[in-house]
Amino acid sequence: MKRYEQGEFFLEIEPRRCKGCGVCVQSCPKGVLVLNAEGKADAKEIAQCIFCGICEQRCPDFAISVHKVKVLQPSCV
Amino acid sequence: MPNTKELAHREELHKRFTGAHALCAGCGAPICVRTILNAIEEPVVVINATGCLEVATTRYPTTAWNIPWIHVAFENAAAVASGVETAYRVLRRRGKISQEIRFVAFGGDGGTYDIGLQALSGALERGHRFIYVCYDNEAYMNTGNQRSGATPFAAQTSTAPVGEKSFGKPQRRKDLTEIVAAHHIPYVAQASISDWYDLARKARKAAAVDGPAFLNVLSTCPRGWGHPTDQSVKIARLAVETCYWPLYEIIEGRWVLNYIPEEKLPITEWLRPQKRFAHLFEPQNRELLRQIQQQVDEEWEKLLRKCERYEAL
Amino acid sequence: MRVAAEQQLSLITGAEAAAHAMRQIDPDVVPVYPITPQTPIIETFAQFVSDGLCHTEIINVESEHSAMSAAVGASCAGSRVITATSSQGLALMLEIVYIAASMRCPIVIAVGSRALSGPINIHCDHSDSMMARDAGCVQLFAENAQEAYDLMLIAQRLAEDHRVLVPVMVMQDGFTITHSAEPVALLPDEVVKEFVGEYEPLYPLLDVDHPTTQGPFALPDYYFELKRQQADALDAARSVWLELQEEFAALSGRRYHGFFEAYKLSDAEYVLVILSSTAGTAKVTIDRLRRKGVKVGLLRPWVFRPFPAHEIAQALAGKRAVAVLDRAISLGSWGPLYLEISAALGRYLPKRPMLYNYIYGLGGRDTPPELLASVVTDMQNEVDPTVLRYLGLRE
Repeated sequence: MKRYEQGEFFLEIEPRRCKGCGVCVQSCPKGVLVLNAEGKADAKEIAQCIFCGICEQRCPDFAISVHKVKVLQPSCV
Repeated sequence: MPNTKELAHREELHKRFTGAHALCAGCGAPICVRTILNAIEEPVVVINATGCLEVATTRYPTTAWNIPWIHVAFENAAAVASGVETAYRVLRRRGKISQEIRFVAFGGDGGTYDIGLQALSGALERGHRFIYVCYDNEAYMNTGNQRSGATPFAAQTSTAPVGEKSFGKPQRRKDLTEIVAAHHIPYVAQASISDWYDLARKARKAAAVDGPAFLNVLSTCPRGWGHPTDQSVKIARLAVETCYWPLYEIIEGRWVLNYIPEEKLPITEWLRPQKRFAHLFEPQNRELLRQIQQQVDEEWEKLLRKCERYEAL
Repeated sequence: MRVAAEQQLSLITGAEAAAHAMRQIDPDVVPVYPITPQTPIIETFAQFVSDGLCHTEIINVESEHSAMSAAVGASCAGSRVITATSSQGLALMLEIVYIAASMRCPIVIAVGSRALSGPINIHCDHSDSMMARDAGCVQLFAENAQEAYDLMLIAQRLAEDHRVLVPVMVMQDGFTITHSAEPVALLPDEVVKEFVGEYEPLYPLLDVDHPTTQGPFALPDYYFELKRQQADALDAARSVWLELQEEFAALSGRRYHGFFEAYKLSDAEYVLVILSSTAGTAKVTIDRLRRKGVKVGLLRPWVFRPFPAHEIAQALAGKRAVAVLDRAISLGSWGPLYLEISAALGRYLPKRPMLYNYIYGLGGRDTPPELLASVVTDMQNEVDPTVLRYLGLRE
């Protein structure tokens, strides 16, 4: 599982699930995603990511997910 | 109304359908399924016709489904759904079940337009409360791209091939959405995997009606249609932008149009990226292209006349 | 040991008797499609439902294929399901009957036996049920309306026993039984209710908190083992059947002893083997012949699947000759009941009786006592057993 963080959000890609179709690359409105040398999705430009979630919604293989970082309560730290 | 964050949130709470299934790269079916399942709030039971979605998600002893799922055969998803839904009503009445449950049947175009049409018609006429979703990829893709009643005019398939004496399928596709509408059921809609917001909202509306609902969802097949896998969503979108696959709904018999392209693209924009239509761009087939454009224009005009209002989703 | 319940005799047809059994069983869902001669079963039952005598939801489907499909859906969902059909209806259902058995759905199927087309014919023979003999269902054959009623009740328990869990088909001869009124002893409603109990599904689809994937895709690595489990389920049905008939006998006073009726069989030299209603004619014939000193008897299986091969072979050991009468033909071969019995005798007996096969009654052709007597005469004359014979046929 690859994790790309930016601010309070992060994006996860599970390469074992990715079949390299490229639908996410084509769907991303900000050009964040590419297919890497292994033909798997990669968040090359994570700084551009607006965490809209379209890649997640469109991935046929459930390989990408977008999350909000959980802000831990002080008592839990 | 659902946005991507809300859909993702529902999925995070309960992954109803998961990855690691064996559907091809770029397949439109799982996009259709996950959008619909994430849009419905109530617990869902899935009834699946035989087809790509079924064989690629339930190879025994594995499963891609975290919700109740049943498959019986190819032509009977609607009949099986009738039985499941009736059992639900009886068991609920007898106090054996307390939850609200929604029933969603998924079938491809072969299992819906062709072999399953009778069972579908019967179930709709009887008024069972379920949502039937046809993920329409316009041919029998599970068995390798044979023509179906949903295959468009002049498309190349393995059983209506292009040859010296043939230009592909010589007949037009049947208008299943309209056939279903003729059953006077409370909700019918046509949607596309490209327009997730429209699809999610329609799924939610379908889940809310007290009776049968039907969604005909254009779902791309990179292998059968012959396009790069990363173009799946874009090509579905082009079907909408060319008015080949208009987005509309029929609510209690009233036709509502959901999308009018700012600039209606020529049908060649949709045809060109797909290998199944490659032969149409040879000079001798110019007339076929003209015919296809004419068919699309006529259908679109007809639809505009039927629609009482325009309501963008 | 409980005392047999008070029972009143009603003059009703076999179809009505099956419908009364359904009313008393009170299934959750009955998906059904009309077809002669089954129709009076569902018509009678529909009236019971309309009169509020049971809580069943009938699904008036648009074909028998959908009837069985809805039955599988409702059964997997976790409800109790009964359906009924005949002939072409069973043929149309058959694809899904196989799947119902493989999905281990305890659906009871009432069958009004009728010849298969073509040519189209509405009268009785057993070609419909014999076509379904390899589907993985228990198959029971009733001789008369009383048995049609009793076997429906036993079938429900047999199907739903967790050691079995397969569909059970209850055959009654079309018109001869379905449409003929006879005195039938019906058990009191509450006695039946207690006998059949509540259906307890193992993995109901509607249990959304424990989701199941039902009807998955099984490849060569698993399919074979799943089929073996079905074979085991039908084997288990043998002992469950024996248990149930004891229980049912205590309840009703009517005993379905073993897997077949043995009528004047123990001292018989000549034996007729026959299914269903023609056995009544056979008993009349046997009584007449016995009065003339001919030692003839009857073996009438009421369980055809699982086939009681060992028990039948034991019962036929030492007989001089056996004639198997089939009301169906496996075209290109011989009668299906004969083929079973021939295999059973070969498997279990060092010395087989002479074994004959007669095809009779196809498409409702009448079989009077004289014809059955002629079969016994053939056996006495030791006619050639290598010839398949047709009874009552114009050659």
